[in-house]
Amino acid sequence: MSDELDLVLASSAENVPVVRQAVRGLLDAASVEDQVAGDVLLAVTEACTNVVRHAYRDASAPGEIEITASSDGHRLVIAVRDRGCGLSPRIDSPGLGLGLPVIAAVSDRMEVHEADGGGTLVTMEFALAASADRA
Amino acid sequence: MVVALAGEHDLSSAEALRRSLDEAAGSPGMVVDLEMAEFVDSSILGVLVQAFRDACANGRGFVLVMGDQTPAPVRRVVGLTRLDQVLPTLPDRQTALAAALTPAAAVDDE
Repeated sequence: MSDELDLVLASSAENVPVVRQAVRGLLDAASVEDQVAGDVLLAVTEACTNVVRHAYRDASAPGEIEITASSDGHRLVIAVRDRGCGLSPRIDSPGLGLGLPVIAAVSDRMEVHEADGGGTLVTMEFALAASADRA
Repeated sequence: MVVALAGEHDLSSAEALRRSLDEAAGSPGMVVDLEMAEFVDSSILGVLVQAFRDACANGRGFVLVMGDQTPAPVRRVVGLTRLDQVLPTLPDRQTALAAALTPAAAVDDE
């Protein structure tokens, strides 16, 4: 699997399934097995949802979601980045707070960073073959 | 009243689902059927949890339908988040409809 993905979309709820479909195309082309593909799609959806819900909540206009994906054939790395307000607590959160825990549960490795230049960068890594000890 | 989800649901359809559940809230018991749902994320689970809270607060029944026929991605996220341990969940719609006539109660209150 040498395909890569590089998407920049407006941070809107309508674009969450658009990102998922783009990633699904990548997974289908690589014949990634269903369980792994399902976990990747769930994680990407949660990461994008976090951007839409939180990243630009103080901005006068919605910003963008930047998604990149790359693979060496064995592991898939997906990064979801925004240029919003960065990591900060939110007492009025509209969700259950399950987004990052779900990503952590379904990925083999996850990192959340303050991105260079502002915003948040979530990097998720997946083994492309399902392992017996996957959560 | 049965609200059945079909296809994929995420933040883009969460508000529409919330409205559907609000409209169905007048009935004594609500059943949300996930058998035909192919994908749901945590934003949808949040809508379901809120509907369950509303049902508890108003003395109405609320039951989720999820069984072996429910697509794996849906069972996966429900299992990961243990939603089926928080919301009353039954494997078929008929049983759920009967159970939904009993007012919902939070697990901690039972």
